[in-house]
Amino acid sequence: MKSSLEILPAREATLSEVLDRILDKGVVISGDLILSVADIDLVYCGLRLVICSVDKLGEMTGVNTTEPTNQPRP
Amino acid sequence: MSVYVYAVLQEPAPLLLSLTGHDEAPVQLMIDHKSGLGVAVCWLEEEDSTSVLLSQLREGLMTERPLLMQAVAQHAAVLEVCVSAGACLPFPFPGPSFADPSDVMDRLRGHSQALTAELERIGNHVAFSIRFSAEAPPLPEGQADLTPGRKYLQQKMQVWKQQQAAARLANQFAHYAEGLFTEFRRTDPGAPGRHQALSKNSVGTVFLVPMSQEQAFIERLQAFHGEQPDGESISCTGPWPACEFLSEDVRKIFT
Repeated sequence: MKSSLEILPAREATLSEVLDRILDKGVVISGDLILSVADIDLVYCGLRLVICSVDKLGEMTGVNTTEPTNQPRP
Repeated sequence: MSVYVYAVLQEPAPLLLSLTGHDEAPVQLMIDHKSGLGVAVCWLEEEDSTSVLLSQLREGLMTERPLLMQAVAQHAAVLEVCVSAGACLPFPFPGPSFADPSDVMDRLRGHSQALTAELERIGNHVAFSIRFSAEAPPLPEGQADLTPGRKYLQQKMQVWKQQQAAARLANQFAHYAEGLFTEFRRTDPGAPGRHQALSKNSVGTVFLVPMSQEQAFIERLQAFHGEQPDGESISCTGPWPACEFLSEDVRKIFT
């Protein structure tokens, strides 16, 4: 694959890029996720996503997010 | 009714007067003539869809995604004009809103010094987002005499090593680029990190660029790209309003 460079004006950027740049971190977005195989819906998940940077998460929870941890996950 | 704030502006331009904000409400300017500062606002009715959305966001309630997307896009459109009109401090979406308009003016007057300092810091700047991706190197040839099980494991291991190599390359690439573009990056120890891992083999960085040097930034990026080996791609979008670089102190003024 050749090296490539793409330069896009902001107004031609994707919606996800607009959200990345303009939406405040900490906003909660809800949505649905349905996992299906061969057109059969198997699993439904109601999602609540918090748009948040890792640094902000560290500030809010008091957890040092920049250091790896050896604590077992719950 | 409430006042929804898009941005703080220095010597606000009349260009803004023809703008439409959320729910078709006209964008208006509230100006403190003493400090020369103003805010671009629109008035929202309680039953407006944006007012409902804002209250849902404040309370962490369910929001309809299409409505959110539309509101963010509308906010971005107003900010784009604000940025083109002169030095401004753009708020990310959702911008602050106030039931009493005198609250907005009080904050503008009471903190004019801090707002002016922030305008000098990022007022005439825009943000450029850059994503670096590295293609994974090709898989080496496997040994033909291995059993199918060992061959499968060997291939899995090779793919993992391939991904790790691409990720290392993307990170090196991003760090090198940050060094190269030092004069375009505001080094503010208080600001949150602007270097985010996007996936195993790509990284993203946001640069704060003075408006007067946008072209120079693009040219530098093009020259930088010309020196890169095959298999690496750079995607750049911008100019964006520098919402992400707005300091916490200024955000708190309008909280």
